[in-house]
Formats: sequence, C-alpha cells, structure tokens
Amino acid sequence: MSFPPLAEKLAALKVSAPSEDELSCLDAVATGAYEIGVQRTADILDEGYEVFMRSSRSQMGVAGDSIVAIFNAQGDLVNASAGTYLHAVIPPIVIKFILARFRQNPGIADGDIWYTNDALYGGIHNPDQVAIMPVFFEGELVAWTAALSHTTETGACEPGGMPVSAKSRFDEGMNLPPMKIGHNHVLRDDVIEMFAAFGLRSETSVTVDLRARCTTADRVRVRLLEMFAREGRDFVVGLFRKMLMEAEAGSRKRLSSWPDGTYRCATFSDAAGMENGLLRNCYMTMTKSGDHLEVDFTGTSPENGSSYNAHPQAVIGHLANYIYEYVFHDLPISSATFQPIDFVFPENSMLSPAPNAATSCAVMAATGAMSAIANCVGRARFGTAEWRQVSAALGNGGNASVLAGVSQWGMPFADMLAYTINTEGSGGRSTADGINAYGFPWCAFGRAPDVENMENELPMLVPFSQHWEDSGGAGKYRGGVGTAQLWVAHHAPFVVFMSIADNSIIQTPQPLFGGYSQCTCPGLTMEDVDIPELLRAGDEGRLDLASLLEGKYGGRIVSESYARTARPVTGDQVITLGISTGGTGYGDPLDRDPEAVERDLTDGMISEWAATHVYGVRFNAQTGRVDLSGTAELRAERMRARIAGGRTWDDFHADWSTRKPPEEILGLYGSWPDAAVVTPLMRM
Amino acid sequence: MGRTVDIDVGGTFTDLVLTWDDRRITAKAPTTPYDLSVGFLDVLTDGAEQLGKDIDELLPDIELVRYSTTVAMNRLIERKGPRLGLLTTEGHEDAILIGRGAQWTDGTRISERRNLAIQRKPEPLVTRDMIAGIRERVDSFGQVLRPLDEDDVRRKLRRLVDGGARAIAVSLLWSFANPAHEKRIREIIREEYRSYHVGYLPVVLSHEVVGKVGEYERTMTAVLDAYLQSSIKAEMEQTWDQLREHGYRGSFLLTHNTGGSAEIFKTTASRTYNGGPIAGLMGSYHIGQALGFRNVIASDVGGTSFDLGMVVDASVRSYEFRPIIDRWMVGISMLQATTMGAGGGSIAWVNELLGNRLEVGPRSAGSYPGPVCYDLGGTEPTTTDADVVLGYIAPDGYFNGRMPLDRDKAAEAIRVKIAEPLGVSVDEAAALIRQVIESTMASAIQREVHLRGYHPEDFVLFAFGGGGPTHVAGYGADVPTAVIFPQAPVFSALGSSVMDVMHVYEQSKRILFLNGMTQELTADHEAYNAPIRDMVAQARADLTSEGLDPDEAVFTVELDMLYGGQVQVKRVSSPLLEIHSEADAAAVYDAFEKEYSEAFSPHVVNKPGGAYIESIIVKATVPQEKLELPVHELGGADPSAARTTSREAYWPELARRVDTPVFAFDRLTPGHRVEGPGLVEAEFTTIVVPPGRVLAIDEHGLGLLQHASPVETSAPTPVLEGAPA
Repeated sequence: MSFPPLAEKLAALKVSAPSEDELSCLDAVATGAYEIGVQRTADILDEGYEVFMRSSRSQMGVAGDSIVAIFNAQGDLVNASAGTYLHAVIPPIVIKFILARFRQNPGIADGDIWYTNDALYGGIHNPDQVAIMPVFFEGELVAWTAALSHTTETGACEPGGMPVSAKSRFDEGMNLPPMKIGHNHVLRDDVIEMFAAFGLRSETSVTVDLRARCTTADRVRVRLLEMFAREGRDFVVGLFRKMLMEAEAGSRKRLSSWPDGTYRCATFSDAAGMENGLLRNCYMTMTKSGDHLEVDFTGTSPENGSSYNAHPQAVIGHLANYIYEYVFHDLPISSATFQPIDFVFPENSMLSPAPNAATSCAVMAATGAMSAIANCVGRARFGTAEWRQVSAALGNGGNASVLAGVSQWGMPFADMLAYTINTEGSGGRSTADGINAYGFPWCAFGRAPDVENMENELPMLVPFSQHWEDSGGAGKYRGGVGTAQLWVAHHAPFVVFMSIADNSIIQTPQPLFGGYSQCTCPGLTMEDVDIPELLRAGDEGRLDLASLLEGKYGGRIVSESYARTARPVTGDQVITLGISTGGTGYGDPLDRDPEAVERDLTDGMISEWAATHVYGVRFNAQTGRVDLSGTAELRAERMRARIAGGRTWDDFHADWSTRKPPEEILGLYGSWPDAAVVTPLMRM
Repeated sequence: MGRTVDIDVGGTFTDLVLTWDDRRITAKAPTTPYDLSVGFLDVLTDGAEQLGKDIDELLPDIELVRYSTTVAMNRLIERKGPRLGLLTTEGHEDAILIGRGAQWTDGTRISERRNLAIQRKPEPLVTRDMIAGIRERVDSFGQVLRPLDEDDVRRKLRRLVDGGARAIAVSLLWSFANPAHEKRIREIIREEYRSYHVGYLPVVLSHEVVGKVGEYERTMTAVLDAYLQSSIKAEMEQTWDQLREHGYRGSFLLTHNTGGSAEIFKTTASRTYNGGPIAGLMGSYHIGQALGFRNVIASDVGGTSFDLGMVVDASVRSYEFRPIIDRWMVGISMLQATTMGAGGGSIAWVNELLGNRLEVGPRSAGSYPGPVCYDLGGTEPTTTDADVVLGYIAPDGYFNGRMPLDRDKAAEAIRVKIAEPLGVSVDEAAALIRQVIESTMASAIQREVHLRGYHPEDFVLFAFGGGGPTHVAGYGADVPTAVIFPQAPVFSALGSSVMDVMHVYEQSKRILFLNGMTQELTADHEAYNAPIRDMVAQARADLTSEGLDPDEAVFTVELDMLYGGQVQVKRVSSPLLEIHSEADAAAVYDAFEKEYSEAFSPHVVNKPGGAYIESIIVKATVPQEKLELPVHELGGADPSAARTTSREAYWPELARRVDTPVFAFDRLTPGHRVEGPGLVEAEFTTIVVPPGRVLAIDEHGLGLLQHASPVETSAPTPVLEGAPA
C-alpha cells in the first residue's frame, strides 16, 4: 500500500520502546541538569516559533497558527512550542513513515529537508504543511525537528486552500506525500517552482511560507546541535527519553484520578460543503479505566461527497487542542501525553473516510470531536479534585469570509476577514462564565484586527462592531458571547465576497450540566440600503445589531446559510453581517446569580427577553435593579412547571425513540438512528 | 560634569545617583509607598550627607533633577485609579472590552497561557456602563461620514458624569486622520464643566496621545493616561513641592520609555511606564559607547524581576513589537526591554506531577513577606534564601548591614520544601535553586541574542541591580565578559543621568511608497515631507517652551513600513529628513528593504505587493553631557590588600564547602584579580566569583568577570542555504 493504513498511523502516535542505549543515557541526566535541559528545549522551540512567525507571509503564519517541534531519533514528539496544538499529532506519523519506507531509498542524510501536506499520510488537511529535518550529530541520527503551519492556497478547484465544492482529493490541488525536497542544506529550486505553480493564485504566500517552514526547522536543528555539542550526546539522548517517561507518568497520574466509567456525547451539524442536511458529525464514547482512556467514534455519520471529512489523525489533532489547553496544560506537548489514550474509528465514517475522500475542510468536519471531548472529559472530571478545570465547549464555528477585488489603493487583493474567526466565545466554566470574544478555537492566541486596520487595508466600512447579544449559551455560568460586525463595501465600485461555515440551522457544540447551546449563525444581508448615505444624513437612530434586525435602517433583510459562494457586492451596499459564535453554557440558567444577569443586561451581553424568559429574573420597574423576591417567585414557578411537565424515563423513551427527522434532511446522516453507512460512496 | 540628581523609584528601593562636579555619589533607601516623596527625601538626604551638606544646602546648587518611577505600574496593578468615562464612536463601544479577541494573553507569559480553563480578560479600567457611543463617524480617508451630534455629546457626557466619571477619555474612529470631532467634544466638555469648577474633569483626546491607526491601542493609551494621570500627578506634586521647599529651582525631567527624558509638563502618564529598566538600558548604551562596546546585554536582577535590554550594533532602536502596559496593548512606541519573573524573591518549588522537577518562579515572595531569611513571615524558599544558605550573602551584611537575615530559617525552609523531596543535601538543594533560576535567565539572554541573529559571544554583559553581580557568573556563562560597575545596585539611576532630552512625535499616514504593479517610487514628495515639517515645528516649539535651544536638537525620522498584503510593520530609520528627488526616495526604500529582510527574512520581501508607509515618526533629541570614565594605571594583580575576611561557602563546582576569601569592592584597585572561589562585597550587593572564574579590575575601576581560561568554541554548524541570520 502506498500510504500508511489507520493501524500504522495510530501506532505511530505511541511512544517507541526505549532502546538499551537510551536507558543507559538516563544516568547522564542528573537532577538540576534535567530541569535546565527541559528549559533549554523550551527556549529553542520558543526561538523557533518566533522565527517562524517573523518569516511567514500568510496571515495565519504571522499570527502563530503553527507549531515547532523536537523529536527523538525514533520520531517521538518530545516537546513543542505552538499556537495550534492540533499540529502536534502530525509529524510523528510522518517521521515514522519516512524511517520505515525511505531509509534505504532515497535514504536519510544530514542536511535533508523532508516535506508533506497530504492528510492521507498523516496531515490535518492540505493547507497545513510541514517541513521536517533530521538532526545528525557526529554522523549519527539523534533527533528530528519540524515546523508546521497553514497556508491559504493549494491550487485547488477554488481559492483559499479549503474548497467547499471539492468532491474528492483530486479537486484539492497539491497533495504532496512525504518527500525529500532539499538535500545537503539546500532547498531544491525545481521543488520551489512546483510550489509556485500550484500556488499561482498567491505565489508569494506559498513559496515564502514554504521557506519559512524550512528555515524554522533548520534553526531548531542548529540549536539542538549546539546543545548536543555543549551537553554531550548521552545527556541529550537521555534527556529526551526522560522527558517522554515523565510526561507519560504525569498523564497517567492525572487520568488515574478520574472515576472509571463510560461517557458519551453526540454532536450534529447542518451541512457538508454546499449541501444542507443533518449529520451526526461526532458520536463519541469515551471509556475511562484506571490510567487508560479509549475514545470510540462508532456511530458518527458516514463520509460524504464534500470536503467536510477528516482523516483519523486530524480528528485526534482536534482533540489535542482541548487536551493541551484543559487537561494536560501543565505537561509538555509530547507524544507521551497521548500514550495512555487509544482510539477507535469506524471505517467509511466522515471521521475515517476512504483514501480518495476530499478532506480540505477537515477542520469543519472535526468540530464535533473538538467539542464532544470537552463534554465527555468535563463530566469525567467533575467529581474529582480537578473540577475547577471543567468547562463547557468553546464556540467553534470558524465563520471564515473572504473578500476580493481592487483596494482603495488600486491594488488587487484577496484576503480572509480575520475578525470573526478570532472573536468566538469560550464555554461556561465550573467557577465562571466563558470568556467573551476569547479568540480562535484552533489557535487561541490569534488576534482580531482593529476596525481601523480593516478599513485601511480593505475597501470597506464597519458601521458597528460589538459583542453579539444573546450569542453565548445560557447557563448558571454563561458561555462567552461572540461578536457582530456590519460590513459595507466602501471606497470601491464593487467587491467580491464568499464565506465558509455551517451552524446556521443547528449548532455543533453541546453544553454541560443543563446549560444551553449557543445560538446559530445565520447569513444575514441587507439589500438596497446605502449605509454611508444614511450616516451622512445624520440619522438619529442607534447604529447596532438590534436596530438592524428591527428593520430601522430600512431595506430588505435576507437570511441564508452563513456559507455562501462568491458573489459581487456594489459600493456602499451591505456585504453581510459578520458574526462569530458564542460558547456553550454551563449549568441551569435558573441557578444563575440574578445580579450577574443584571450585569449582563447592562453590558449588552443578553437581551431583556433572555433575562426574563431564559434566566427567570424580574426587575424593579422603577429602579431597573433586580427584584430578588420577584425573581425567586418566578424561578420557583418555572421549576414547578418543569416538574409538572416531567415524564418517567420509560414514557420519555417510548415517545422519543419513535421520533425521526424528515427524510429530506437525512441524506448525509446515514441510517437512522445509528448513522451507519447505507450506500457506499462512489467518487470519481 | 555638572550638578544633577537622578532618582529611580523602584518597588522595593529608591536609588540615587548624585553628580557633583567630578564626583558621583550613590545612595539607596527603602521605597515608601504611602508617600513616595519620603523615600525620595531620605535618599537625597543620604546623598547630601556624603557631600558633607544638608539638603537645603545641596538643592539650590542642583541644575537638573531626573526621575524614573514604577508608580504607573503599581497603580495599575492595584486598580486604584479614578472612575473613568469613555466617549467613543457609536457602534464601537465594546472595542476595548473585546480587546481584539485574545486580550487575556496580553501581559502574560507563554507558560501562563496554556491553561485555558483559568483565563480571564483583565478587569476593565472603564466598565461598559461608563462607555458611551457618540453619533459621529469619520472614514479612513478622514472624511466626515456622520456629522457630530452635539446634543448627543452633551446628553451622554451628563450620563457619564452622573455615573461618577472623574476623568474623560475621548477616542473616536479615525480621529488621528481628522481630529475635528474629538477637539469639539473637548470644547463641549469645557463648556459644560469649567476649569474652575470643583468637579473639573481632566480630558484626554486619543489623537493627542497616539497619532496613528489602531483604535484599540489608541483608545487604551488614552484611557491609561486618563487613569494614571491623577496618581502620577499626586506623586509628582508631593515630590515637586519638597524640592521647591528645599530650594531647588531647576527643571524636573521624567524618564520616558522611548529612551529619552522630558519635562514633567510635557509627559503623559503612559510614557513613564517601565522608566527604570529603560534608564538601565540607556545607561548601558551610553556607557557601552564610552567603553567602545557595540553590543551590550543590559541585565538587571531585582527582587522580583529580571530585566533585559539589548544594545545591538551601537544602537538601541529596537521597539516592542506589541507594546503592552500591564495587561493592555498601547499605541506608543516603547523601547524593547524584556522583563521576566526571576529575581531574589522568586519562589522555588517541587513539581510533583512532573517527577519532582525543581522549578523556580515565576511566583515571587515580593518584598513582603519576602524571602524566608527576611523573617517577616515568608515560608517559601527563594533565590535569596539560597544565596544566604550557601554563604554567598553574609546574613549581617545585607543592604549594607541594615537588614539582618536569618540563615537558619532559610536553611530549614530549603530542607523541608526542596532538599528532602529531591533527596539531596540542603547545600545541594540551594545550589540547584541558583542553577535553575540562573539557567532561566541565561536562556532568556540566549533567546534575545539569537533572535537578533547574533551569538552571546558577540556581546559583553552588564550586570546590575542588587542581584546582578550575585548571579551573573551563572546566567552569563555564554558571554565571555560580564562588566560589574561600582554603581551596579543603582545603575538605572546612573543610566538616567546620561539620558538625552528627547521628544517623539508620530503621525499615521498611509503613503503608497512603491507601486507594486509599476515598481515606481512615489513622486508625491510633499505627502512625505509635510507631516515631517509639522512635527519638527511642533518639536521646536515644545523644546523652546522647556527652555531648551531647538537649534541644539538633532532631528531624525523613522518610518513604520510594510509590503502590500502583509501585516508585519517594521520601524525603519530613514536616512533623510525629507525627500526631494527619485534618488532620495530610492534611498528611503533601500533602507526599508534592508532592515525588513534583516528583521524577518529575505524571503518575505515582496516588491510586487508594493510598499507602504503606515506612520511617520520624528524624534527631536537634545544631547546631554555623557559619562566620562576615569582611566587609572593598572597595578599589581594581588588583591589581598582588599581582603576583609573569609567565610565558609558551598561551591557546587567543588561539591563542598570551603573557606572563601571575602574582598571589599571599593578597596580593589585597577589591575587586581580575584580568582574564584571568592566573594566581593559592595555596599548593596555581593559579587560571586565561582571556581574557574576571575574578577579583574580594569583601568576604569570596573569589575570584569571572565573565565579563568578561554572557553573552547566548536566548528560552525552548516545551515540551510539562504536562511536568515
């Protein structure tokens, strides 16, 4: 077989057995020297990460949506510096594949540069690309380094690297299996030419980012060699093994403290590419036993004919985002932390599709897994000493929009509008609300631009930019809200607009412990309204989302799916309402501190309607302050109504199990209700 | 050399450098947070006494007082500023609360960001109910889209005042491009609340504090200035009153984080932030110049922090990429000074989850309760405790003998919390604490140096602050020479004594400098020259109003530039004040391309995308008299004349305690060489000279800490072809 099968990929994620040599090198790692060695690897990686950001061209590279990593000679990830933890899963699979298949031909030599972006061989999706270099010390292969980041062009059937209309991998542009693209410390010119050809739409981004990856992997390699020279070969080899052993021990210790049990979470979505319909985009069964965790995805909808599929390692990568931020936040980013975790993927599901599947929107397909893990782990940890770490799922809409045309500076442009993807809300927590507009779920440290920068760079006007009221899932601890901006074409005769997302009909992330999900993200546009003209007229109406939805600006409001194919918008007309999704809620909203509800109302986080109808809070009509006794009465009334409407489990189940969504939305779902493959998918 | 007073008010100590003709006197006194002018007078009195004068005799003869302070930072941390109101453009009221998304990462260390479950956005300085959106709008070309609704301003202003606003920040979109609305709002506020009213409202306009694009950073700068103004004013007034009362009649300058200093009346609060470390950096720059060093690492080990600044190629023109004050992005340009939580008060602990890994910091015991050896209730072992236990710091000699230390308590804390869990002796544990914290500091140095494309071997290291000389042998291992000054403990104050008077002006103005499609440089030279002329005129007026001669000023231009389609702006130095020909424009572009490719990578130079100027910066510098270092003849190497005593100290290099000679720094003379192991005590610090090192006193009386034998360097490693340095 030309590519590694699932079993080989999963095995590659496990730490290699220590060699006799490594075990003997452990003696060279004394207390004190070990701590300093660990710190040194972190410093080398931080330097590499900084170099990577400075050398990159694409916005995501500049924002640090990347990883820089060190591996031992066998390809086990020892430590990494990252903005995007999902990338941590990729390189070990690729390095172990190179070691297994290419050791003899073409051979692995000092000065090699290896490269891949092919998800079939271990990647996330093909815009995510990795440069890998072996580290030879005195002629011996002692380590590997890697630098991985996202570039927004792959030469696919649509621009931007994530074609929503791709139907198979053959529509997705460049898919490069692991191959040597440079030797003897020189990147090959013919290879650069090939990248330029695939990246014709944005040639400089593609080739500059390629070089940035190679430069970064090399910088880390050079620093590691300095470390080998200074500290001695045995020390560094022993240090790497000790770091793996201690990371695994730390990981097992933490898992041991959770109660054994089986935890399930089902998540859904409303579209695959441009096709609408219900999907169970993740059905997770997490079984915790002793210091071991098994995550089983059986019951997830079948693969589909769009690019909304994800290969298994990409799914595991999306779990890594959560795991390194909430569970193993104090452990190194290392293969060893995943050592106690096993995975089961059903064949031909959207999370383990056929080799010819399109997976360029894998990040959208994996949103279910990304949020289900928060739900399962949250319930497992709630009864432990780690309960303060429990958090409901982040928003993960990833509402990405692209604007293109000729700028007010007379220059052609095509760019992703970074505001909405970088201001999603985080989930409610066991001790606090989620963070409002916290960031980008795939790279928590990414930043949204200033409105002035948006208007300076692009021919547009942003009449309002605000927290999006009621967008956070309600709860005892509310999900953080997202944001809403109105985008208007300005200083140009026209612009071209398109966007990628789902969640317009149903939200994927599930709340926790009685909290509510966040609201959906409709694709809203206003037709026939000249906003700049309204402003010039000195209109006295308030400029915000509520007024827009109430029709106070006039015009016609059009509501569609957030995902829209490319369309022109003429000058001074509304492009769309750009929105970022909120986080899910935690706990029963009727348990929310009434004063927190009042504060939310003052701060514009919730509407009066939600305060009364969702949170059950009454206000004093004269002072506008919370009426505590009135609130207690209202909430008691709600609780009585709930109890009155309650049914026994058997009654509920008898009714619930007979219900079924309409057939016309089940085309993507699979068999009802198990989501098994009904008809094998044929791709050309 | 004139007669000047330089004061650095730190969190723990207030430092003085008193320059009196050819004498330079130093003193140190505890900072008095309840009234900073008390500590100020204490240290000044001490300095005067060293001259045999009282303070009333001293001050009338002083020509200049320069002052750097951490008060701005402390007020922020304590959130003790006044209740503020913010007037902004309607529809954009949430901008400073959204904070460009991941606001929670600003002002935190990478290691603190991993755990997403505990993150919070910082407590806002202006709450949402105190932010009002005004009906007005200017677009990116500076054109008024929506006229200012004055009734709306009056209505919302009243609401903010009724809500308790004691100061108002005004920040409207694109105000730097067209400030008419902001100015009119200030007029309206003045119409409503006259300056003679009891409830007089200070007003800060955003375009006056930051003249460039980016509403979040500009608004936060205005908010910080409004927030800090009253507390800094109160501190300055107390000190100013004291100075006047004791006969001082000269100027009062404040150190700026731009690397210059300016009259108190020309200083905004945000400019004083981080003044101490910047003064240390500027001192390193000027003294490095005097000593002929082009590359200097300035390192300052204090009680809670390790500050690091770099002089590269005889220049300090390196700015913070994303300048942050406390937890807030700001729009001002600040010189780059890295601060990390590593110092004498850093707490050592054993991380059980990671196999009993020893970690030191970033938590600090601070000055109260401080290290265990202070005996003020601290129970967590710290770096200073390790220094005392190992015998490096004499328990009866700390802070010039004024603060006795309890060695036994320190040893007991290290035994229980570190030595026993690790299964090592107390001495070994204390040595490990030093080793770990020094390695953290060394790593920070390596990272900073490497990122600029250099190696530590290319630098000299200036070690100052109370803890610099005590730890430099450990954290400066890769740098061949560490320079230790007699004034090391008050180095920041020394630095401020040689800083120039400098004013910085910035204007955001997008200019298409290189057309990507035609590859032609701009022919509109006036678009470039006009804002520079405006800023130079403003600078000349400001200098004149400070009593300075503008003809003595040196004017320089810097540009924030980037290529089309990119987001990385680079601050570059323009070789010309104005451009008048194609050749001039080419010279400016070439300077940009060179600096851009050096800073990022030659691979990201993108001429087809065009090149843009985003902002123009004018600096007006009035040079001040520089430090002249005395030159003495080198004498013999034997330092025994300076030996004062000996005491037992543990040296990990020898894995045992040995009787170690102790020397007095002020008795060492040029030519003396102290071979390690040895300890050299100065007034407020101890220089640790481990085995294998030597402290040599040079012709200027400075201590040079070096390896006893040269360190071997390995052959260069081949690197990727075309990779940036």
